[in-house]
Amino acid sequence: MTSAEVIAPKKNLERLLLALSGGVLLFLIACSIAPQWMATASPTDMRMDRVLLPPGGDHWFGTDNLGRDVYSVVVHGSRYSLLIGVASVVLGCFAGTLLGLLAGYFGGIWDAIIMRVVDTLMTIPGILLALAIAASLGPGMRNIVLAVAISSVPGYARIMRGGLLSLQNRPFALAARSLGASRPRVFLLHLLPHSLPPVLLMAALGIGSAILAGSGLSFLGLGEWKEVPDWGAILSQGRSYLTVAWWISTFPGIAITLFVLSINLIGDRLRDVFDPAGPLE
Amino acid sequence: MIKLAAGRMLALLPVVFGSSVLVFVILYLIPGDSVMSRLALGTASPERIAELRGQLGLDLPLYEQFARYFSRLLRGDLGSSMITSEPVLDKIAAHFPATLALTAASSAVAATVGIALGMLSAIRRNGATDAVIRLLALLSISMPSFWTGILLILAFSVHWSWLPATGSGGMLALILPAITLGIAGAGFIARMVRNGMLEVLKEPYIAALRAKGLTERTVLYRHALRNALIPAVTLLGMLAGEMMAGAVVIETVFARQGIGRVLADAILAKDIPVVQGVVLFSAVVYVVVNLLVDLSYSLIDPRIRRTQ
Repeated sequence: MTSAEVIAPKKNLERLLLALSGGVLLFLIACSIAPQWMATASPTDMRMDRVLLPPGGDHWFGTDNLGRDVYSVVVHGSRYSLLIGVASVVLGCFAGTLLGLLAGYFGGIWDAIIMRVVDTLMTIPGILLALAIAASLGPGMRNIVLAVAISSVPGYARIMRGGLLSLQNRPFALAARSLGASRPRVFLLHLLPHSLPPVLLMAALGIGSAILAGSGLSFLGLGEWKEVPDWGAILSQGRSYLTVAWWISTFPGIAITLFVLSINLIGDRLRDVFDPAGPLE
Repeated sequence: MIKLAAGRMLALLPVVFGSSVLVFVILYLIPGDSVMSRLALGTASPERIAELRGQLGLDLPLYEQFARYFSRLLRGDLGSSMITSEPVLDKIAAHFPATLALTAASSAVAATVGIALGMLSAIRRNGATDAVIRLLALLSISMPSFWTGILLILAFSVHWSWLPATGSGGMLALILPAITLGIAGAGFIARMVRNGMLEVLKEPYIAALRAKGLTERTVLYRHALRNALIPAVTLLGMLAGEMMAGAVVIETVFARQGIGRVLADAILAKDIPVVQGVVLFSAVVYVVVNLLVDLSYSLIDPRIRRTQ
C-alpha cells in the first residue's frame, strides 16, 4: 500500500467529516485572529432597547441581558479560549518533554527523582490539580494557562522518557554510538527526533482537552475577564437567564464542542496514520 | 490475595505522602495570602494582620508550617475552614455522601451505556450503526460537561419540567447530574470496548472457538467480551477519579451539596485549609479506587490470578 492510500479515507462520510472539521478549525482560527472581520457587531456594544432578543434577524445568536450581540461576543471570545488551549499545550508539552528528556539523559538518581515527582502529580486527577493550582495562583487568564499546563506535564514527561528508553538500544542508536558519537549528540540528533512524533500527536489532541479544562476553570469563575469573556465565562453568565434566554449559554457551548470535536476527529485520523499497526478494522 | 492487597496498600503510603506534600507546596505558593482576604480587604490594622498570621501559623518558616500540617494530618486533623471555622473533616463527612452517590451513579451510566454501545459497534463494525456510535462517542467526549448539564436542564427541567434542575435530595435530583457526568465516560468506554473487542476477535482462539461450532453469541459474550473488558475496567477506575473531580463543575451546575461544590466555593473564597483537605481527600480516594481496580483484574482474568 502506498502512503497516499493509507492517508485517503476509504469512505465518503469519513472524508466529508474530515473536511468539515478542517473547515470548522479554519473558521474558528480566523475568528480568533481577526474577530473584527468575522463579527457582525462590536462585542461591547450594550443597548437596552434590544435586551434578551431571541436568535434571528440581525442577531444570529440573539442578544444577552446587556443587549450585546451574542454571535459577536462568541466570535471575540474565541481568541481567549483558543489562546488558553494553545498556550497551555505549548507550555505543558515543552516542560514535560524537557523533564522526560532530562530523566532519560541523566538516568539513575535524576531519573528516579523526576519520575517520582511526575508519578505524584499523576495521583491527583487532572482537573483537580488544575483547580488547586488555579486556587493558589488566583484568578486570571495567565493563571488558567499555567494551571492547565502544569496538570498536563506528567503525560508528556512519561511519553518522552518511555520513547527514549525504548529507542536507546535500537540499531540506529547503537550504530551512532559505535561510530563514536557523543552522548549529547546521540540524544539530541538521533533519539530526540524519533521520540517526538508521539509527543507532538499527543500535544495536537491535547489542545482539545486543554480548551475543555480551561473553559471549565473559567466557568467556575477563575477567569477574571474585563470586557470580552472567553466561551466558558459567557456560558456561565448565561446560566442566570436559562429560563428566559436559552441561547446565551447554548451557542458558546456549541462553539467549544465543535472545536474540540474537530480536533478529535482529525486527531483520530492522524493516530490511525501514525500507528504502525494500522487502523482497526 | 490478602497478602497481595496488603502489599499494594503499603506501597500506597509513599504515594499518599507525596500527594500531601504536593498539595501543601501548591497551596503555599499563594501570592495574595489568605489572611488579607479574610480581613475585609485591607481595612484591618497591621497589628491585627500580624496577630491573625501568628494564630494561623503563617509567620513560621515553610518547613515548620509543613511539619505542623503533617503532624495534624497524621492525627486525622485536616484543619478548620478559615471562614466558618468548621473542621474540614466534618465538612467532608457531611458532603461526601452526595458526591459518592453522584460518582457511583455516573459510573454505572458510563459502564452500562459504554459497554453496550462499544459491543454493538464492534459487532456491526464498519456499518452504519458503527459509524453513528463512533461519532456519538467522539461527540460525547468533546462536549464540556457543564454545557451538557445546562442542555439537559433546558430540555428536561425548563422545557418539559419532568425532572428537578437543582438540589441534592432524593433519587430524582440525581438523574440529570448522573447522566451529564456519565455521558463523557460512556464515550471513552465505548471506544475502548470497541477497540478491545476488535483486537480480541482477531486472536486465533476465537477462530478455534468458532471452528468448534460454538454459537456466535457464546463466542462474543462468554469469551471475547471478558477479555475486551480488562482495559475498559482500568479506564473505569481512572474515570471514577476524573468524575469525582468533574463533580466540582457538575455540582455547581446542579447546585448539589457535595464536596465538589465545597471545593469550588472554597477556591473562590481562598479558604485554603478546605481546598487542601478536599483535594487531598479526593487524591486518596482516587488512589484507593485504582487499587481496587487493580485487584479486580484477578476476578475477571484467571491468568492474573494464577501468576500471583
